[in-house]
Amino acid sequence: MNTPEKHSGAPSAERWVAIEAAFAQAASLTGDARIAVLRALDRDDATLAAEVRSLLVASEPWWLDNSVVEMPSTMDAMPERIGPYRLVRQLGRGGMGEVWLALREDADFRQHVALKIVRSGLETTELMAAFRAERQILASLNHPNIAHLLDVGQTPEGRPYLALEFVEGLPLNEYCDQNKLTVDERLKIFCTICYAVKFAHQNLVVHQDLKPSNIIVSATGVPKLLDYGIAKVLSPTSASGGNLDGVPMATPDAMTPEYAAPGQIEGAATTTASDVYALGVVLYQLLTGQLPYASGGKRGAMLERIREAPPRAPSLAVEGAQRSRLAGDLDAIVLRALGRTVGERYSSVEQFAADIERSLSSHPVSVRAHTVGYIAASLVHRHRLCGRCGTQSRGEPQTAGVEHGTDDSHKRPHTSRSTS
Amino acid sequence: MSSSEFSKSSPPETAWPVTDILLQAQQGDALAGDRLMALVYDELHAMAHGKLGFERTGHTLQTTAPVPEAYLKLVDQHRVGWQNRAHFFAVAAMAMRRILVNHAEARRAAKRGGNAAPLPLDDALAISTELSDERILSLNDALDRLQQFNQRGARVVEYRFFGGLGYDDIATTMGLSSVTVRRSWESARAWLRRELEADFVNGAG
Repeated sequence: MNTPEKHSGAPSAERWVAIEAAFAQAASLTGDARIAVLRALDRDDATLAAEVRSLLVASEPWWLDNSVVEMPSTMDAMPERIGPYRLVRQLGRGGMGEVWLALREDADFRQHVALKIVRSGLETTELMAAFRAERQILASLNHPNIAHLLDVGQTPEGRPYLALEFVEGLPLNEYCDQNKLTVDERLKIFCTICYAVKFAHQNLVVHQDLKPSNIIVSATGVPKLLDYGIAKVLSPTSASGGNLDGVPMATPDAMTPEYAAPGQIEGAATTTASDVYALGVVLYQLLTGQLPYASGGKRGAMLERIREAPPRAPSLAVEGAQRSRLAGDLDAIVLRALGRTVGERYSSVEQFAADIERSLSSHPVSVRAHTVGYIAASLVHRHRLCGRCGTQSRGEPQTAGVEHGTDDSHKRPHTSRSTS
Repeated sequence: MSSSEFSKSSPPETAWPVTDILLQAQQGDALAGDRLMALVYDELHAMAHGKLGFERTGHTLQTTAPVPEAYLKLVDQHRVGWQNRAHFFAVAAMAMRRILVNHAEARRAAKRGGNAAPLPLDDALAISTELSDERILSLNDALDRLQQFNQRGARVVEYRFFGGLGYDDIATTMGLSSVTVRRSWESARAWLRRELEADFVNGAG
């Protein structure tokens, strides 16, 4: 193979035109089609082919993709209205675009919505088709703990937008910490979340991007899942060289890696088992305040850790009384959800939640060996607790069952949140 | 697009130091172009020291600093149309590049003088939100090399990375289609990445 024209050996301007054209063509293709084009190029101009290959390899996301200044996605002002929505204020901005708080005002009803406006530069036509298809599916996702997708449309400039139910509250972790929730209270909220995910799974919808910032808890303690089905629409399979402008989620590099199951990181299809894993990470974080794997350091090294080593037990990530609370059932439950292969995990979110509930009521959990000693210990513990633990009714969606006790920190004003 | 859609309040004229010169530059006044650059440089420089925290962070710059709002304040949105704004942001991108490079060079010189602690090895390339001096300087050199045979690509990278402009805005500024800008960006960034990796391998970074 020929050596690419590297460092010091810069191409001429004419040569660059040929390189850029060949690169753009190859980058727009994936799989066999790309290989075919490169092979044809090998025959015509092997040096050019080597150069294109080398540039394709260099097409992964890197720091240059993040500008030193963060700009509004376009300089033209947002209009006051988009379709039936009046823009109120910007809630956030991210790789995908902007999120605005907007008000829908019709003759006899007013509704606040979160408008996600995809930034220009994305493949508008494909996205619109995907959004429309997704809306059909999500329309059936009627659940009190899932934020609704209300509408899809396009701005006058042709940028696709999604209108989502506006949820006011705090991200799950912040909510729990601000209100100083106990382990049991956290587990109860978490179960409510699991049942919402289970409901979606029954409707054949996988979230794919579950993380605390996508779970907003209202001031009254009701959690809602945001962005259902959106990760899927925004992550069409694209090989390197495709959508590289830091845009989203197209490659494993771009997903939220801390919550992505090992298989997902390697590009495997996302399934309900990926949601189980992500929920496992969320619960780990909820109980210990830490991620099961240290993030930071080289991204590759982190992914390597996730693939290679089982995480340390949650109880070992905390100290004192909290350690003994987590040791045993909760360690076993969390580690089961974080199984590296699908077979090692809970086979459904429902089983995951059921074990947590069993643990809350001191019944033996499924993931621990049912020895006589363990069952006897659960029994004794249950009877000792009997007076104070009410049985949690299963599948009851709306109540988070959180008591704030004497702590009045929840009375602090809640900021409105929506992810971007 | 009417500029009144952009901003609701009407600030005093004196709040917009750049506007007049920008308008002159747009009318083809070459000298105004230079003055614009100088003025934007000064303004951004002052802003950067206030907002980016050059001194505070010691050896690195926080990226995605909250500059844009301050940027916007430099230009009277009532008098400057969309195309002029695009022109302004393009100038601002060039100014930002110069500021960052000058700053990194100054600090490197200070280090050679023995005043500063050695740079920690930045091993968190992909996740890091901080931009090291070495990175700025290598990128600056690589952009100069790119410029030799791919002027368009170098410009696009400059607007995007140092100016935060999107494809559409760059397209307007350069008189190209958004598709061409994107294509240019993707090939230029791959070339630069390869160059910079060679730099790091060779120990220059």
